[in-house]
Amino acid sequence: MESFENPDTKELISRCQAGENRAFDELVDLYASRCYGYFYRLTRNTDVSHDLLSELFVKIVEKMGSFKGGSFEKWLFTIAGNLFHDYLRGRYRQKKMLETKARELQDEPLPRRTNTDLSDQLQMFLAKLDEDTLEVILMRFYGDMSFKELSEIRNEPIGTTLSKVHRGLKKLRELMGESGD
Amino acid sequence: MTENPEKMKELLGSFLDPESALKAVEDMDRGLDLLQSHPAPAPDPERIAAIKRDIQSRIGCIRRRQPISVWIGWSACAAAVLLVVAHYSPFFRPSRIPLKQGVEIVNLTPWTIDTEPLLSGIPSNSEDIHNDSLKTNSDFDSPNPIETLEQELKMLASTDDFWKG
Repeated sequence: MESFENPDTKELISRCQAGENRAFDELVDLYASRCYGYFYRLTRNTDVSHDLLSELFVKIVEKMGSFKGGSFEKWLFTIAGNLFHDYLRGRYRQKKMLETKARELQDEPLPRRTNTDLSDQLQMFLAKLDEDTLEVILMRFYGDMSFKELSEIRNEPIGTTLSKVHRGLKKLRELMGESGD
Repeated sequence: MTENPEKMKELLGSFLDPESALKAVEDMDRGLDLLQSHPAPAPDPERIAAIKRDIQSRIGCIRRRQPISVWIGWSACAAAVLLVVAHYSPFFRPSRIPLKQGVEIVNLTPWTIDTEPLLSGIPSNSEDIHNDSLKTNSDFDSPNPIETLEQELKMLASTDDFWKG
């Protein structure tokens, strides 16, 4: 896996905190693909992923002053994870509303996800994982985070996080026809 | 930052036996390789440009907001300093003398009126009232009360229609 570590990140963050316009452009260039990939793999929807990405950077700009050091990736992906949960809550409310309406309109089928790139085989198999496992795997991959950081973000024992990632990735390999044995 | 393979083995070794830990590390590495070999689509460059524009406008807003917040902060400090100065300054300190003077004024004011002429007239007035009273009631002190009663009865008899309405 490509290392996302950037020696200039610390300096870049300092420039952002100083309010340098160009620094924020560089920050977007550095993290947009990873964050978009994270959102896309979770939502399977390009429009939603772009919207979440936009919201994420707006939040980053607003909260940059409150970043007190440590792992920037952990901070960034904690915000990204919170945004995804907000999106899920909104979708749940929307789903409830649509279900009520659907009952009124005699069981109109509810489109679960739209705009899915079905040509992406991996996306299809990722959809078979439960959302909690998928989220922690994607945070590990796109956020380049250690299990300690993941367990801290998720507020669960490190063994639980390890087990989820291990079982999830193993299942993914099986689904894609890789036995590994 | 993710753990290196050695750290991973050590970490998993605290939950699994060494052989299982090694296999779990391989499972995870190969699983993550799948994600690596199937990259997610890249974000739309136009959307990225829009995000950058949005960020620039927001930075501008934050900068515009900053002087106001600084001004509010300085105003609050100035107000606090003024309050402290006012509290300790003799110009603003409330004096205790007026309260004492007030008490004296309240006590003295009624006695500054010259009441002597009024008071001196009271005994003579009361004497007059007393005399009038004695004069009015003098009939009750008549030497012949029966005669008085008869006279009254005669008066009533001469005007006996008073009860007829």
